[in-house]
Amino acid sequence: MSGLATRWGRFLANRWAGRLQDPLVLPGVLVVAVAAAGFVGYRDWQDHRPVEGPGRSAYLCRLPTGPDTPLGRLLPDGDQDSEERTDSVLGHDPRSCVIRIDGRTVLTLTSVGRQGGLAMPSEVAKHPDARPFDTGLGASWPGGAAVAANCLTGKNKTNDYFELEIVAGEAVRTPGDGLQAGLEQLARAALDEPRKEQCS
Amino acid sequence: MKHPRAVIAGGAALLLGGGLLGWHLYLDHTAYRPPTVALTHGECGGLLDGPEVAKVLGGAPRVYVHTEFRKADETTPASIRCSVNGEDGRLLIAEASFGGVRAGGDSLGAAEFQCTLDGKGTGYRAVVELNGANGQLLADGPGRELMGKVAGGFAERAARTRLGCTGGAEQLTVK
Repeated sequence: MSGLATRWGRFLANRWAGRLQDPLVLPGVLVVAVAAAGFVGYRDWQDHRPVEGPGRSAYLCRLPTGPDTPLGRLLPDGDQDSEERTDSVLGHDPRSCVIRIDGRTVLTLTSVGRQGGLAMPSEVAKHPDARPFDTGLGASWPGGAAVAANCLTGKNKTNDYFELEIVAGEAVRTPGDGLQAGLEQLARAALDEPRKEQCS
Repeated sequence: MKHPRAVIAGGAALLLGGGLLGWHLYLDHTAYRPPTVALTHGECGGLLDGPEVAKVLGGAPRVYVHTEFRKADETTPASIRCSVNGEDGRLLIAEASFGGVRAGGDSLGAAEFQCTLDGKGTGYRAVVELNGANGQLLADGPGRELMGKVAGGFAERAARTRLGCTGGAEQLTVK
């Protein structure tokens, strides 16, 4: 085996070594080889770059997720975030949006359109410990908040007002000023989207 | 050393080749692999909760699921449609609705079934479509067999839990 390798080595050396005697050929060959290797290495690196890099989605349930936003303060760290929106094509069923991080529920936002005069969200009655807060007709309790707000659009609207309910899940992070205050802030910030969906 | 320049050339070739191999192995080892997309938490009403779906979707760091449910009315039976994104921007669209059946393919699973509601039978079809990032059917799809499995599982779960068919998905055939 080694005899064969030696013979091959000698054969190649005899065939090519003569040409390497030219003082410019060897540096030239080395430069070309290094450049080619660099190109191949660069292509390899490009092929390994992920199409989607890691990182938090900029918006979840159409709310910004930055560190200083009402939603961002409630989100825990995690590798995979997901939002699930559920709509009913016909009728006035609630629309919901669930935010999960690594498969654990962080928040559930539910909005539903109502007809008639503005009234306290029905959900509030189920929570005897609810406390009112400033936005529209709203109340919050430990782990949840609900708001009712008027539709501001003109005529031709299907609903007179809508309710938004936010419920915290198992994975929610408690911000500095407490979960209940965090949910109230989120409820204030989250009214635009259900207004668009329920009032047009 | 009879041919020092040949040794230099051969050594350089060996070094560069080894370096490239090491570089490739290093890249493979440290590459970012996003977490698998698993719809096991009640997404889409649990209709896409199966290992075959996870296989088709791969991994993604950000998952968006959209579920649309259409209730039955006087003229139209109920239907459901879900979409979810997966690896490299691919999008899986699953739909169970009434209507004629479609033929399956490498990126398209199709099944038909009968749904009995209030003693009346309706012909349903379940279609699962796997689109690439460009919005077209994925060119190198996961194969007809796997897509058929996804369609069959989706049809079965949809008939049982969401469409309210009395006998589940009857005469379920994967196309």
